[in-house]
Amino acid sequence: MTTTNGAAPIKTEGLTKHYGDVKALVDLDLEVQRGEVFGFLGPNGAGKTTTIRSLLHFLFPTSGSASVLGLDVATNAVEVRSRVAYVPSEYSLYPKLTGAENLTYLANLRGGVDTDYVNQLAARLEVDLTRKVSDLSTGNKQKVGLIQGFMNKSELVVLDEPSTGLDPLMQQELQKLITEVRDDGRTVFLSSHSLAEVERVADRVGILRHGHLVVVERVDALKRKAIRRIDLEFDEPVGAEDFSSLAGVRSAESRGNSVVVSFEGSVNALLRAAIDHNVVNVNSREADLEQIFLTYYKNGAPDAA
Amino acid sequence: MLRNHLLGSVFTKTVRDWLLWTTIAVIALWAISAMYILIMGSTGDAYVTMMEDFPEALANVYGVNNGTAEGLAMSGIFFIMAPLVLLTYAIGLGSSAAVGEEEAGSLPMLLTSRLRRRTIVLSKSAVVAIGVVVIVALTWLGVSVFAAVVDMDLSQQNVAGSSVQLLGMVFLFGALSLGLSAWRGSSGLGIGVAAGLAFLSYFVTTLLPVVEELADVAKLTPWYLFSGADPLSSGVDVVLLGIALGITAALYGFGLYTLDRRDLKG
Repeated sequence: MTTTNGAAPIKTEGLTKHYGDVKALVDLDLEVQRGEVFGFLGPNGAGKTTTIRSLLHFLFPTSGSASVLGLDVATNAVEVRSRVAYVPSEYSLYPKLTGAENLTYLANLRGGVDTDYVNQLAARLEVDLTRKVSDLSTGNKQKVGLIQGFMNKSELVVLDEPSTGLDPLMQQELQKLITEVRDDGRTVFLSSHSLAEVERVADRVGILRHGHLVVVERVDALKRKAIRRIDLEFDEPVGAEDFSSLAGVRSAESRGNSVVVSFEGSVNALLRAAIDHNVVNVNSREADLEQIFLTYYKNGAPDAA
Repeated sequence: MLRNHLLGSVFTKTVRDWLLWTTIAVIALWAISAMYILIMGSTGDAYVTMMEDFPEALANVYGVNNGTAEGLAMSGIFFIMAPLVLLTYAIGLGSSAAVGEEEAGSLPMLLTSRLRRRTIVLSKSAVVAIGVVVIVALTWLGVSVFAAVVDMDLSQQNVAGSSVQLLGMVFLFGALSLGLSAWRGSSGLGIGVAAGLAFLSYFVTTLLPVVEELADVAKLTPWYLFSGADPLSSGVDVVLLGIALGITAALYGFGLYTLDRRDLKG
């Protein structure tokens, strides 16, 4: 086995993938550090799954290179895959087998697994492994897929939209599992289109759009920089101009008795201006992915493909 | 929980998955063989007389053999029905061996073990090949038993020869289906082309010899590699069998070569 101690779990240099004229991934330079949860964010079609499939050498890159656990994926694909746990976004199990039989098969192919740990995972995710997969709901199928992803205690766990079909309680359990992997010194690469899903567990995030990596940033720094929105409701109509010139305010719009303000940075100046009037209600919204995109695109990030 | 020996490898799981198809094929061919042998054993002479009045082209399509009731029965079994069942089996499962997991979306899961794509295809295609041999062997056994029951006099050597010759052609079309499916990642392409070519080559081989000038063209089809030397009368033709197996190996090698050089679909 190739020595990989100290190598970055994931490293890409100029990784590019075109499908004919479509540029699915463009010059991706990315380094994920050992023991971190790395959130890989982007809207559907941004190139997240293309990146993951290139990392596992399911796709041949148009140019550039990728290494996983210190191994060049082009020349060590089999070893790379055998040391990585992967839960795809569209997880396909064998419908005629039970959940347990599916996991047995996959465990056997990898040389065995800790059965007690599998049962623990099934209990935590509240899934009945004795039922045929064809009889399971989408959420329960996803849970079987997640058990497969975590049961091998792999050095690197790659999750592509893992919370699809999970209810909020199970999403919390998934977050705990991800955190446990990190606490164990292992690495999680978490791909999602939902900032809310990623921000709770990720140490850093990379944002992908139209195949370009827009930014890699710590989650807290990213949110600080993001454009957020606040709805201020007053007891009478208030002009938007009272807010539009304040520091950090990107836009302000008056709607009846409310003013909707988009801003970045500190909210202090905004609140001070608001209390000059009779405030009835304040509704603050978390920055969502599109708003964060707007932040970076306004700063001149590339708009590709 | 983790106890199920048939889930120990791709090969054993494939045996588990495809055992039903193999069983159906064997039972179908036993039923067909019993029907042919029982009917020809009791009223075969009338059929022989009737067939003698058929135009040559039509008689060729039915695979009339040596003008006896036994020949007519064996011709119906080994020239028409066994190829039909076995080609359906080999073309369908050959394609599935190449891209079944990929099209079902389960291949990424399998590949996160120590398996190469070609290892998975090798394991699955081995099951298809063994399945074909088992079906042919059990059909031969069934034919022998049914013939003995009705005191039909068979040349075991020629029945064996036809069975072996048939294997060569079935492997060829199975490998064609596998190779094309693996190349483009599409079962539709492999099954469509292989089934279409099998159908076409059957009619070309049986009908073209009626026209003297076109008789040699019939020798260019895969079906000729099976029927050309009339194995029901003459036993195995080693040269034609060798050509069929050679083409099979080339198509199979092409499939494996291209499989590892294209993107995974899905």
